[in-house]
Amino acid sequence: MVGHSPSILVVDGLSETTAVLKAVFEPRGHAVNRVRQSQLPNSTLSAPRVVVWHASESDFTSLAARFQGIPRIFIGRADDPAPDAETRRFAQPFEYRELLGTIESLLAKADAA
Amino acid sequence: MPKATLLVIQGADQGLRFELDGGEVTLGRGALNPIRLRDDEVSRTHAAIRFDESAGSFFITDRNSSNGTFVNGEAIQTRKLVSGDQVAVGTTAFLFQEVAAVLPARAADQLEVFVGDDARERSSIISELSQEVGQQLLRDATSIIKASSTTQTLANLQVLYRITEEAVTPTLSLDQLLHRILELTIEVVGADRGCVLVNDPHTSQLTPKAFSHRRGFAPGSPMPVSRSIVDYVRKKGQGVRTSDAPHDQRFSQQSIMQAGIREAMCVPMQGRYELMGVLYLDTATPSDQLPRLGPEGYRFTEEKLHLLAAIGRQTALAVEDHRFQDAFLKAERLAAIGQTIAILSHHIKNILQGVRGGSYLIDMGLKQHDEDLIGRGWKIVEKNQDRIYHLVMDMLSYSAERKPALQVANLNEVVRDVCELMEPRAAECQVELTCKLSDQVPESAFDSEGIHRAVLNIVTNAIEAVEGTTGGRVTVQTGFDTKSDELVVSVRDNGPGIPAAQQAMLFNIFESTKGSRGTGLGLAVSQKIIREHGGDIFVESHEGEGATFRLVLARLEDEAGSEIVKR
Repeated sequence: MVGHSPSILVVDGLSETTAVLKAVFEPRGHAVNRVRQSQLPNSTLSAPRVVVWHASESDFTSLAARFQGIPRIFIGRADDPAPDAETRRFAQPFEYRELLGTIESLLAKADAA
Repeated sequence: MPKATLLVIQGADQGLRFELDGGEVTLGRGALNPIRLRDDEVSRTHAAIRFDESAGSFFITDRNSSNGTFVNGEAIQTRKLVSGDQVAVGTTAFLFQEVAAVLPARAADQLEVFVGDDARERSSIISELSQEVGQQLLRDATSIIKASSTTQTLANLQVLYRITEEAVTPTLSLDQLLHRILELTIEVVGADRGCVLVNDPHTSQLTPKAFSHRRGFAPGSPMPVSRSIVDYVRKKGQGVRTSDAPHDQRFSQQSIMQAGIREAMCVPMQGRYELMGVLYLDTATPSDQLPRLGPEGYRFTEEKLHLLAAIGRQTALAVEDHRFQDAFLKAERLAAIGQTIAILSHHIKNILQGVRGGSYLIDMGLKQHDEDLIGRGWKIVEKNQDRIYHLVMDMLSYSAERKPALQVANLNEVVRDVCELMEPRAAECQVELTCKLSDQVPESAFDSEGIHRAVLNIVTNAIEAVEGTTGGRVTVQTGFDTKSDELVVSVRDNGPGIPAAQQAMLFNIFESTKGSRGTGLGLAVSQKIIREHGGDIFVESHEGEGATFRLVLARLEDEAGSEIVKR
């Protein structure tokens, strides 16, 4: 079931990000789900292949622990501190072309591994 | 046009400022008053303020209120208002300030600072007084004042008390405060005229800030201020009294003499940390006219120099406090502006991000000739266009001191409109939106557009609170409380609820619990609109049990027929 095994999981943030990712990736067979961090403890979602989360609402530490080893993309403000070396970072307003390119490369890396 | 303000300094509406522009303005609890108060101790129409052209002043009149109207603690029927008056109605207190009050003439135009022969002018000093004496006098006034009579001691104490009172009264400007202090000083010291020269913090130069003279004294020419005396006082930090010039041979050829000065006193205004300026008084009344002015007359004595030293100290503290307040206010204002810009930029950035998302899909759809993609992109663009519209409308509603445009209508119609408008959004978020309209709701006068916005903001919040949860429900209900004669709109959701700690801050501007999705304007705007209708918003919520917002507003009949339009 798509809802329980997303390729891309969007945590918090603007619904528009999810809408764009869905429009681009779902036709290619990648499920895209959006969830609020407050709902994560009760969710039955299996591990996604890429996590996109928004800094202003989410707690980095608990998210990093929950999605350890999974490629992560962090969307925040330009002055937000970098979360860690493994996490790719975008500052709003960003270009969707760049975000989509990054997700594509992370998915390709995950497939290769 | 005369202008004045009433600032609420005590009560539920503390911090609100109402502008008076001359026409009659009523104040009271009723929703039709231009000055509407959330105070149960205030009558529906409690009092009225109007500008009397012939008197050139504002007057306040009690409108047969139950609990009375008070000006500076005194019950009044009708009373002229002057800047600084405190008006109390119920548990609310206002500070009255005339904005366009006639300001005293510019001090610099009334003074002539002259440079004479230093040695000669300083030789006219017949008495000096350390500024510590002034401070000591303030600490233990009764024992230090070597007054010739008890009456004089009391008069001295009274003026110090009045100056202290003036200094802590919020005034419009430092110049006005100094002018008031100078008036009191001239009156008690018995001088013909006086001035206050304040140290400019940027140039370290003394700048004339206030000039005044006693009633009945006609200053034909500018007041001469001896630069030598002023410099001496600044340098030594001591108060001085100069001799009775007409009887002093040393002054026969001096400019000070030519100007008709008999005596002068000059004291430093020593603040906590630095010298703030000097206070300078003189007399020019010819000796032969002195008897007509009373036995104490207009003679400067040692006692008066003591008193002036104390006044100088008080004035310095007032100047210093005024500067602290100014600096504090400026810092607060800059911080608030910075915060507002940062928050608004963030929201605009979010909207821009959304528009970019929509545009990206449209671009992609055009390239791939995919109408579905274009449609999805356009939907995102439209949604963000809507967001910026609401952001702008909320900002306008919050910033403008708008008066509700009252029209007789039915609240049910407005609530139905909101529900219909929000139905697609609720469906998109998989939220069940129910609208229950009570047929008991009577017609009432309210600002339909304002109430629409207030209800819309609350319903939007409720939908967003349950968005993404399983079985999310929002119920909007109208009602009428016959006992209190109030209309009610309640918006209930079954979302996660609002923690008690957050409830106290819910209506604060820019306080949002929705992270990047919230502007922190919606609830503040809704509250403002409902309060403009003489009502309020009440919240009931427990964590995990959803939340209920009750918008309560008084039913308004045709109580001031001409102001309400029948729709």
